[in-house]
Amino acid sequence: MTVTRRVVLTFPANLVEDTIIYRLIKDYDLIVNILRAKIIPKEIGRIVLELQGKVENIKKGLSFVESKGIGVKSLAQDIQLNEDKCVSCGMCLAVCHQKALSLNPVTWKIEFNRDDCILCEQCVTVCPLRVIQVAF
Amino acid sequence: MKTYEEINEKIKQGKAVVVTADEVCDLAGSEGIKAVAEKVDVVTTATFGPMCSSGVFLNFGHADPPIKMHKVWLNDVPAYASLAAVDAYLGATAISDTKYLEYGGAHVIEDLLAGKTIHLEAEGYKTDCYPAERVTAEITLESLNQAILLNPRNAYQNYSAATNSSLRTLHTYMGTLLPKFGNVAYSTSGQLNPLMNDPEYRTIGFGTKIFLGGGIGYILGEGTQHNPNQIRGGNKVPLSSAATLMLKGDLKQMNARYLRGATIKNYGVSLMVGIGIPIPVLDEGIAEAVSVRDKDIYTTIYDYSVEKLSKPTYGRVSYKELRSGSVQINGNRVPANPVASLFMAREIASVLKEWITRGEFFLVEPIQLLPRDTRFKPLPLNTGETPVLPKKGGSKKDGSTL
Repeated sequence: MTVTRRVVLTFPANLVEDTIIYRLIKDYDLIVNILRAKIIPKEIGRIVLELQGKVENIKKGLSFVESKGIGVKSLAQDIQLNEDKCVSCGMCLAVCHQKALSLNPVTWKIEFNRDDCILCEQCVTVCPLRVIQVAF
Repeated sequence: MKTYEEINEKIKQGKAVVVTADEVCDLAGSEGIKAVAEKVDVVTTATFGPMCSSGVFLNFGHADPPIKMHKVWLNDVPAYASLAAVDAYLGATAISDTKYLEYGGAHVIEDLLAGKTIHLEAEGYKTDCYPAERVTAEITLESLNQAILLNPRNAYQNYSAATNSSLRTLHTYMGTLLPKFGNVAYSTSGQLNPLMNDPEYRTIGFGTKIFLGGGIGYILGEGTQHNPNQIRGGNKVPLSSAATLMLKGDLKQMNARYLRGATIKNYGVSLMVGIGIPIPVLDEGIAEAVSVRDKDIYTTIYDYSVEKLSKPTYGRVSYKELRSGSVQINGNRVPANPVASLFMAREIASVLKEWITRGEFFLVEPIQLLPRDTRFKPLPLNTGETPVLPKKGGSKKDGSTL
């Protein structure tokens, strides 16, 4: 069965120059879409990936990545909307091109759909109450 | 026809019929305006959003030996102290000397309400009355003699919507405006907005008792920039920013849920204020006014990329269209996002309804209604002068929030 998964890879500074994406494609037959990347030599690097392929292959591919000492986290875990403190003002909507943040048309409460988020982080600084946080 | 006394008597007996400005629309729709006038005693209206013209008067108590505080900081945020010895006014938009836009007067107000300790630093000049020159102290809301919220301009009657025709992203008090008409930002709670439910100020004025920041407050009359002469629609509701209110309340009985410190990116600090205003349904005219719906309330879209006081407009839209999530500009669909919370406004209207229904909150008849004839004037500069703009690429006072 073919599935899509979004993950955040965190590279220790010493591994930034290792070849990872190539191996995922070549050895594990995955379609790789880089949603975001911040790679600077000798610093911790992060890549937000969308992986498409067989469940087994994604599993094996990510095991391989982890075996190289690279952190793998599901993308959804990294964005936090503090719903208790959010007042649903709507300012974040202006910058959320993915529409991961939306207003429920009945309750008018802000809702966050993790599956659509690509971690662009624009909402983090636009939120006037600082209740959206990105935790890598 | 009903009077304030009759309505208050009903509230006392637990018989008053109180509905929110949302609910009254349903009743008007199903049973008509006459039924609203007969059945409903009070309609609760509300708004919740950033209101920059807000602040709090504080009295710290005297030190021993005493000091005449001339300069005051609260958690590094400067307050205005050119008042008597230990009085100060902390403006919501004052920004921290150390954290800049990340922390300001509004955050101090929220922190005080949340019970947090605030670091006070004050400097004075030595006089025979006040020998001390400098004090520091850790204060709390409880330790203050008075903490009186006094907001010079709140609860705008309607507000213009904002868009951006330019090629760069703008960071405004209406939030982020994306280039090339990327979005339209709008404020106010529409059919729930207090002054849009009493467009001709028949019940709202000096003395009106209100919900302010989760506690009790009062209207002190017109706010600054009060503009009752704004163009109006057939239902008398202004088609853009119009009347404003000055509000006062004891901060000590308010609730941090309804007063929130905000940092609007690359713009500044503001205070999100929760306000609820009860409107007595005295007659059919008021019944009709409170039954106004989003589809019949219009605002004007302005182009915020034009750095002039008078900005070009892109027509009028109803709040119903704005609430649909997109509006039409020049034939194109443009996403629309609010910057004020309808969710919180509805909550406040419900809370105020509860207070009145339970007999805990009575109406106060204003002793003077809002003026209908004041003019909102621009600043006339000296002959031949224009405001000085910063040089392109010149140094900027740190306005970034990152």
